[in-house]
Amino acid sequence: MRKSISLLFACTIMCMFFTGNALAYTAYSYGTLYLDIDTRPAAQNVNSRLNSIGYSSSYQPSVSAATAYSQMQNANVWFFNGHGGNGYIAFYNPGYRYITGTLHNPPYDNAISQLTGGVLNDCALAVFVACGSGNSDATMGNLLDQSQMNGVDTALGFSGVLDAAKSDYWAQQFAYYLDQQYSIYNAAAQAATDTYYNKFGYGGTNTYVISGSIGATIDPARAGW
Amino acid sequence: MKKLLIILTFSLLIVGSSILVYSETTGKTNVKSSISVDDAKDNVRKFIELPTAEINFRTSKAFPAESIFELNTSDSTFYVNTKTGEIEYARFDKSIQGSESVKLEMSYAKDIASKYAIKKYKGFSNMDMQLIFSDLIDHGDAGKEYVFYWNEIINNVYTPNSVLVTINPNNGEIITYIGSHGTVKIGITPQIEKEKAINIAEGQTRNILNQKIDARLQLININESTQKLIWVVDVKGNWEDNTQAFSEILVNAENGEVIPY
Repeated sequence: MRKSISLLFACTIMCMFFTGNALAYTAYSYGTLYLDIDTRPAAQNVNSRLNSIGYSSSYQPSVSAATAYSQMQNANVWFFNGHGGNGYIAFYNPGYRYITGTLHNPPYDNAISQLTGGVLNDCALAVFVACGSGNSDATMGNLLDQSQMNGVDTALGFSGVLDAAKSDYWAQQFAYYLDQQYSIYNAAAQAATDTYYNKFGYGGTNTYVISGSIGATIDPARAGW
Repeated sequence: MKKLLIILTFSLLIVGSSILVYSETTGKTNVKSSISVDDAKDNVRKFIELPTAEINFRTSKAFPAESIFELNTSDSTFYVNTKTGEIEYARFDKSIQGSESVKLEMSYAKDIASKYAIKKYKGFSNMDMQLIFSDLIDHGDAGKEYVFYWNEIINNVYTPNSVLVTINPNNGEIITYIGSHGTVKIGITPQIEKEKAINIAEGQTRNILNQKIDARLQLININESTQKLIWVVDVKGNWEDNTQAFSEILVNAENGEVIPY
């Protein structure tokens, strides 16, 4: 009896150790069914890659900006693919549908500038696959700068206008190369090249903008530094 | 009969072992190749003009129109066409150092890029290569790069022959080279007029408001054996929530069919 209890105890400890390791790092991948495009399949693919890297990654289809904003605060990798513009990204759900760099139109915005006090310190990578997401706006600020200022190691967006089919492909290839232990810069550049070859042109994907450490990798899975 | 069986078995063994050798040579994937990985490595050495450079085989890749060997050094990556042996892509990671500052005028960088294209791209000077696009792209902490893109144009049709060169705006070093090669295999007179192609693309992009539309005729290698004359229709504008919109629609210039990609 005592032997069985000891064995059970040892197994529990081992399970906690291994499960703990596997679930230690959290990631989110966002895709949305908009009125015009559907970024969910690409987000699902990215989610699989993040799980393959070792993150406990959760695919988030068509969630509200408020949900994504809230999840950003405990994410180690946060990966958005959808609509956007200078200083913001857009979610389908009406009301509270933007995440912005700085507070624009309270209370309708979820501004990254509000996430102070080291809330994002554990985030190794935030990705904003959206048109103009790497650019600044006079009122909505800059998503990448605000992310980095509030603790994200590396934030990535785009300065150009993206073709949806090509940016979906880029997102998947980018995640694939991260899973191959490429640095964030190398993964971004290589994914753009593959888009050029596979989709008959860049479609804006060569306008990636990186804020933070370009040589960092996220495989093996890790938290922000 | 027994002899025949023995010969047949022997032949199968030889074929089988040839396939195995082939697989080892080309890497893990079943990419059909005409050149060996060693040939590809030699071609890279010639391309970078370093006869003793250490080149590593990373993987094989199959794109719709071609297959490539991906090779690399410690700080550069290359795609070598498995059939022609041409270097189709080169990226020199070291060259981005210092690229956050812009010291060179675009015209000076263009001069460097065009000289490089002429030197590296077979037949550049004999083709009607036209500069289609040039820009300075800011990658944030990954630096900046001048981008120059040339395409051969015959009778207003973009052929598969194109070159892209990117330049470090600080010191003029080459960051990226992409050279695509291809022959014109089909007729280049469209059956569908430009206006008709634009109408078709508009039908696909009704949700884009304030549309600005541009269309060009392009020969695209859909796969290794199929080439199509395509109206590439770029539709830019904004979505209803005012976010920026861009959609590229490929319309078959022979029959008006929209080609998914």
